[in-house]
Amino acid sequence: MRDFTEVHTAEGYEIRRFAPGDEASILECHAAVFGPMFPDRPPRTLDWWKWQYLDNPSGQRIWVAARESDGAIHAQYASTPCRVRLEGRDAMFAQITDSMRHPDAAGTHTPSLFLRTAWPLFVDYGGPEADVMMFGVPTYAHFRLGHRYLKYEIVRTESALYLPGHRMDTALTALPSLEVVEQDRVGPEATALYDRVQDQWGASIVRDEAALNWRYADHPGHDYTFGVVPDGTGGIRALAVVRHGDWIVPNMTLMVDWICPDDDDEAGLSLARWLVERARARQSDVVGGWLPEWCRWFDRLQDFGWLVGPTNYFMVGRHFHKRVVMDWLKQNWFYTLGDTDQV
Amino acid sequence: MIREGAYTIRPATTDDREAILATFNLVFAEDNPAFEPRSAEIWDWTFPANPAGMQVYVAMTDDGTCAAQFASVPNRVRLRGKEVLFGQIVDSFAHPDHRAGLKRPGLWVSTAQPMVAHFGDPERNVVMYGFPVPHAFRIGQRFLGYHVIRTQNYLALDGGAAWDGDAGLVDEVSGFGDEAGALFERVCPPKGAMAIRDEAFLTWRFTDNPLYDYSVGVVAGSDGAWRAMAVFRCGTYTDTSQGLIVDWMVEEGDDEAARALVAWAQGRAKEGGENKVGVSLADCDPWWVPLQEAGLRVARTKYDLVGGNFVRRFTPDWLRHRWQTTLADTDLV
Repeated sequence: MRDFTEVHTAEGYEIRRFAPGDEASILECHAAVFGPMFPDRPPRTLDWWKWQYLDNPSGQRIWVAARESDGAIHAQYASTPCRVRLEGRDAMFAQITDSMRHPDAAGTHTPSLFLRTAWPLFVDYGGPEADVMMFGVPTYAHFRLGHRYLKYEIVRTESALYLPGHRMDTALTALPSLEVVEQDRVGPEATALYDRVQDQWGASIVRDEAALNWRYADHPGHDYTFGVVPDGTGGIRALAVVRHGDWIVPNMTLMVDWICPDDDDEAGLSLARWLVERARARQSDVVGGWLPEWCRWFDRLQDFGWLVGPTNYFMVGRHFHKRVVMDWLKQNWFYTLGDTDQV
Repeated sequence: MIREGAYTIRPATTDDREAILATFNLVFAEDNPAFEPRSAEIWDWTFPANPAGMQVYVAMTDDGTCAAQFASVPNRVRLRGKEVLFGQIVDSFAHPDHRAGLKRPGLWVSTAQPMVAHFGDPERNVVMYGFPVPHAFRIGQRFLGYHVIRTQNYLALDGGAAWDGDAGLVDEVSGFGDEAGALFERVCPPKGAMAIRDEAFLTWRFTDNPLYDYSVGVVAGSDGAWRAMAVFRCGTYTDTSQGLIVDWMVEEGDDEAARALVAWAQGRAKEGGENKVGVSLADCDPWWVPLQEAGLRVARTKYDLVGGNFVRRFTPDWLRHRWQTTLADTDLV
C-alpha cells in the first residue's frame, strides 16, 4: 500500500459536513455498500438513521462526499459522539460508525474518495478539547486500512465473558436472588447510580438517564430490557441491560450493559442471576458480554461459572490527547457491548 | 554494514560480546537497583548457543563502544506444516551517551530498521514478535510495523483451591528425548502455528538455561510414550510471584493427564512457598476453555503480544487465532 498526503477535496465531489436533505441519499449509499455484505440484515431505515445521528443527545459528526452533478452521497465518514467521564472530568469520545464508499465511486480517486472524506472529520472533531478519542470495532481488513491512513491503534483484542448452558444450573444454585425489576426506561435514579460508580473507572461513557434511554429504550431496531436492583428508597443499587439475539452464536442472552458498585456483591450477583433466568426463559444456551479484564465483575462472575473465550473482535481507537493512549485506555476505560454498535 | 554518522551498524558477532554486555549492563542498571549484570555465560546461551541461530545487530562507534543493539531470539516454528523461523525481539537498547547520536528517528530505530529489513524475510523470520513496554511498542509501531497480535491473558489457580487431579501420575524427568518431539507432533495444530518443541529446543530453552532451574513433569503411557508434559518453575510473571507452568504440551481430550500436571504444579508451587499457579496459554489453545471448566480462571496480564509479519497472509489477526504460545516462547520467565 502507498502512503498519501491528506487531501480533503475530490474532483467532481463536494466534501463537506452533513446537511439536512442528505438523509435519503445516505441511506441509498448505505444499502448499496452494506446490503451485499450483509444480505440477511434488513436495510437501514430512516427511523434508525435519525435515532443514531439526529436524536443522539451528544450530537452527531458526519462528513460526506456529495457528487456535484446530482448531490448523490458517494462516501460518508461518521461518528456517534458520547459524553465521557475521564478521570473525573467531562470529555467526549466518538464511535466511528457507518463509514462507507459507494461502489460507483470505486477507483475514481487516488487516494480514495473514502479517505478524502474521512480525513476532514478527524481534523474537524478530533482534539484534546474536542473528541479526545475516536473508537470502533472494525473488521481486520478495515483496521489495516484505518491503521495505515487514519492512525487507528488497537486498544485490546476482545474476550467474551460467558456462561454456557451446561453451567447455568450450578450458577443458579449459588447466586443470590435480590429482587430485580424489569423496566423499559430508566429515570433519574439511573443517573444517581452512575454518579456513584463512575469514579471506579478511569474513563467511562456517561450512563445517565438521557444516555441510557437514548441508547436502549429509544433504539428503533432492537428490544432491550433494563434490570434494576431497587434500594428500597426509590433508588437503584445496580443495573444491567439485556437483549436476546444472535451475536457470536444464535439466540444469545446478551449482557449489553452493567452498572454496579464494586462493593455491592449481592446486587451484582443478583443481576447475574437475573440474566441466567432470562436465558432459561428464552431457551437461550449462553449468557455473554464484554467486561474489561481489570473490572471486579470480570473476576467475580468467574466465581460462579462464567468462562472467558476468544472472539474475533477488537477495540481500536485514535487518540487526540497525549495521556489518553491505547495502553492507558486498555487499563482504565470501562466499556461494555452497549458502548458499541455491535448489538 | 551501514555507516550512519559516527556509527557502523552491522550484524554482531561473538567478538562483540564484551562491548555489548558493557552497554547492556549500563543501560538496564538505570533506575533498577535490583539489577544483576548480564554475564557472558547468559549472553552465550541466549545468542550463539541458540540452535535456531543468532540475530543481533549493533551500532558500534569507532572506539569499539556498542552504542545500540537490536536483537531477536529465533524459534523454529511449525507453520501450517512447514518449518519456519519466528524471531522474538529481546534486549534492545541504546547507550545513554548516544541516544541523541543521530537525527530522527534516532540511533535505536536506525539500528533496528536494517536488522528488521534483513531478518524480517520469509526465508529468515516469517514473524518477529515480543512483549514490549508501551513506550517501545509505540516506537516499534511507528517505525517497525509492530501490531497487537493479542491481549495476553492467562489462566491461574489459587493455591487453596480444590483441584481434582492425581499428581501421582506425573514423573519428573531430567531431560528431553525423542518422546518430547513425538508428543509435539501429536499436539501441533496442523493448520496453525506452534514453536517446535523437540529435544534440541527444549534442552536449550530449559536444561541449558543458565538463568533459572526448571522442573519437567511428564505423564507417560504404559508404553513409555509421553501423553503430556509441563515445565515448571516458581517466578514472577506480570508482577506476581507464583508457580508457573512455563510450557505445556497435552494431547487434546486427555483430561486426566492435564489435571495431573496441574496438580503436580500446585504441589510444586506449595513447596516453593507460592500459593498460586499460572499458565499463560494463547486463548486459541485447545486447553484454554477446558482448563477453565476444570477450575482455572482467566486473569489479565500487563502484556500484549505484538509483532509484525513478513509473509502477507500470516497477519496479526491470523496469528491471533492460530498461533499457540506458552511462556516458553518468551524471555519473561
